[in-house]
Amino acid sequence: MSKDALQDWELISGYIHKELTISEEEQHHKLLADKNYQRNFKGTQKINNSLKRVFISKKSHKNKSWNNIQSQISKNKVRSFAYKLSRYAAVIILTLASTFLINHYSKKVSAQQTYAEIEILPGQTGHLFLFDGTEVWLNSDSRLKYPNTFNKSNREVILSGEAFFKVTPNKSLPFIVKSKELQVQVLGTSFNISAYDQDQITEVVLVEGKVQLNNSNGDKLVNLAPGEMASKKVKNRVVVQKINPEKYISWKDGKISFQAETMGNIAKKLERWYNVRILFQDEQLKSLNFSGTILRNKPIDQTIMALELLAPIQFEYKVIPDAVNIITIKRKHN
Amino acid sequence: MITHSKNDHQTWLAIVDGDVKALKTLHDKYYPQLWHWAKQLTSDEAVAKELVSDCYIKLWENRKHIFINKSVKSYLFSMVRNQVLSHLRKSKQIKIVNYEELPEVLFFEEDDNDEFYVALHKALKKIPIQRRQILELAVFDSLSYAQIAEKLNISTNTVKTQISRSYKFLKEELSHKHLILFNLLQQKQNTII
Repeated sequence: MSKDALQDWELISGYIHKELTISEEEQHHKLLADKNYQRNFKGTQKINNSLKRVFISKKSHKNKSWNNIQSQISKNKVRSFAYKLSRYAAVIILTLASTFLINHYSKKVSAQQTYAEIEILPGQTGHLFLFDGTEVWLNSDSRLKYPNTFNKSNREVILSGEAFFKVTPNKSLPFIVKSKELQVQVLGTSFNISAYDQDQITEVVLVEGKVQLNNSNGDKLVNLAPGEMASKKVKNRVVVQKINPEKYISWKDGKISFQAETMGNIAKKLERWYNVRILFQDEQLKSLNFSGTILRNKPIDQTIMALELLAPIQFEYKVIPDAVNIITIKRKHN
Repeated sequence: MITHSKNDHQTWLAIVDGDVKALKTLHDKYYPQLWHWAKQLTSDEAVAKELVSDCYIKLWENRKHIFINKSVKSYLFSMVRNQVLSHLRKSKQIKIVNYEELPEVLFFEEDDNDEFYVALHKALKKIPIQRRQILELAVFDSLSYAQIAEKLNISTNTVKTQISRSYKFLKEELSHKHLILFNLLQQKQNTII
């Protein structure tokens, strides 16, 4: 059997593409005893496997796609978040956190449950997918824990801080977010929950779908409809009111809107997002009211400068090496 | 296997740091497979291109706010999967689509042997267009000889001989060295697993 005989190649190709008749197949199997034929056959198999990839690569017009992406990117230049130092810190922390996640075993290991925990530091935000496809946006200074059995026997997560959830529908496994004061139970929906330990209030905003709120023991409190917010102060009852959800969830798109918000509350939020401490020279300054939108990717001094234009305040920025920087807000002297 | 997720991780860190070249690396590595998968599900080449490209743009724009808890590859995959899902739901092609019902993306074996693919790509270019087209229809579109014959208005026998000639040519073009090297690496991969 000459290795140049086209008939050999027809058999090889035919076998690979499943085009041989039964007698042709028998011929092929007999020929495999010939070393030359066998080599050609194996080589062709490998080529065939690789060809698929080459064709996919070619037909995907990879280069065109990249050119398109590149031009889009240069149009919307993303400004760096806050200061260089915190930018590198973000990279390091994200790396550490991800290895932590792989190796982590919770201290309180109950039965077969181990937990993975994601921590987002002040000044950072996070975005991730859970194993069932649920999207989670985490705001600064927030912690999310979920068990290794997630999406198997249950879909329960533990939150401290603030997160926006876009939950994958699954009727057989309700999604439950547990925070200190409230539990949110959903089948599939989008909602925001703010449950910072330091705040005395927990707020749940429903954008889409339906949720059931329970207390920390799991007893049902109330159902929420889209456009409603439930707030619970510690030791108080849950209060439900109609609101505009956009105001409460815009943080995940990098902007925060305030409507007649006190300087004291704004300061608390700014402390978290930019990882600074804000002190007031005069307690009365805390009750000044502001309305407006802040873009998170602007450095904090720009934000405060904007606020200075709107009220009789001025600020002083102190850089503390190896610690959180301090901003002091004073009354403006004219 | 381990070395590759480490490489991806380095690439991701560079992306977070603002290195566009790193994004290109990630793009060139996974875009074709993600596109092919999205195309099979949406049955639309152009839509698939847009969906996957958008994911890369989003990945870049949000790079400082994204927490990668498994691997960049899985994250990308999840992004594309979600986009495909919402597209299918919107276009009402499928009534209720569950996340788990979508088939897994077929990721190619990591190409340890770039040399081989480059050589194959080069050799392929040397094949005349008509003959290459026949090969493409057989390999990429998985058409039978008869289907190809009908599509191009030629005889089945012609299809058979053209395909055979292509393989013969490719095998001879790709030197012995390339195929041996590829062979060895395949074996190596198998023993690690």
